Amino acid sequence: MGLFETLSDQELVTGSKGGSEQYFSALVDRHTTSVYRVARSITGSHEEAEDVVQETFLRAFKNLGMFDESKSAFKTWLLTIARNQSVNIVSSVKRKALIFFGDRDKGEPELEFSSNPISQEPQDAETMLSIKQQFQMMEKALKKLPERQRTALLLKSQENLSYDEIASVMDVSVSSVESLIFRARKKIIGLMER
Amino acid sequence: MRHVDYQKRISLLVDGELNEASAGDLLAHLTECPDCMRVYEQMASLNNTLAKVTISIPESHLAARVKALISGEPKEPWAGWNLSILKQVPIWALIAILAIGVGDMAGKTLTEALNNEEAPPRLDTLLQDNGESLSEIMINFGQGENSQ
Ligand SMILES: [Zn+2]
Repeated sequence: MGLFETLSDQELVTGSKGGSEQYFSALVDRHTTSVYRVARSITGSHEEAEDVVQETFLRAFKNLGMFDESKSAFKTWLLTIARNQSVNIVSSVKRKALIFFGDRDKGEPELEFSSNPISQEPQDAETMLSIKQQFQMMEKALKKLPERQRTALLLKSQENLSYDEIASVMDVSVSSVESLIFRARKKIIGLMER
Repeated sequence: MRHVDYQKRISLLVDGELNEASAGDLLAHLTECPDCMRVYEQMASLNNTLAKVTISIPESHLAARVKALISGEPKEPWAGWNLSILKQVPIWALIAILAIGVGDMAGKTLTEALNNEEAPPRLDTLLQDNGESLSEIMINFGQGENSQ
């Protein structure tokens, strides 16, 4: 394990603010997947999610001086930027035009699945296969949810954020987060029972 | 309490967001209500799957691209500027550049114009600014999005 992997996000942020690009690179390594997942969940597009990842880190890097660790965790701040970028893309005129002219989703790669690094328990191959099959079914149900329900649920289940942090990322109240996540779960269960 | 209220609490319980007193009430209800027990099992299983599996990406490839992008990026707006260049440019050229440039700078502060960037994101201000132009807002207006 290298030096950077042992440091907390806050220590890496402090190092980055001190002017070291290596510290920020470690933050990129650590959070690229989370930013990508949020972006992909909102945009539904691999290409757009990649653009969001680049733009999010670029903005975070340029504006690191504005990040206030007493107000939020670095990951929460980063995912807030990512969600805003993604929502902007989805509502942009250019994108609507591309959808209208049918020039989107050409060559969209199939999703690949792997075990989630936030999960602590090791899984044997057979269990993992059955969980992956379940996830593939769930993925179809997830696509049918309204964006806000899907994002809230994934921020909880996949990124392990607290309701407070999700409220901050999505700019809604904690009770809205409760309700979004509850409705997302009910809907997925309903869809999977069919 | 209605079953649906217990089910809302189940969702909080599987997320570790339910306080102890409410968790006690809920667990007591679960022992006597097979319907809510079933919802509990479904929600717990859903959570389990979502926590263990995720979409994977060619991470190193994307992270490497991001890092390359950042290494070429000055953090301070002035960091990439070599002001000594101004000494080598004749004064008439500077006047011409300013005259042409001023037209582009309408409504911008000097820093904004030079930096060619939007205001930096802060958690509290970021969310109100979704970066849309007026025409985009007008087009989006009335298209109720994200119906829940
Ligand atoms: Zn019940």
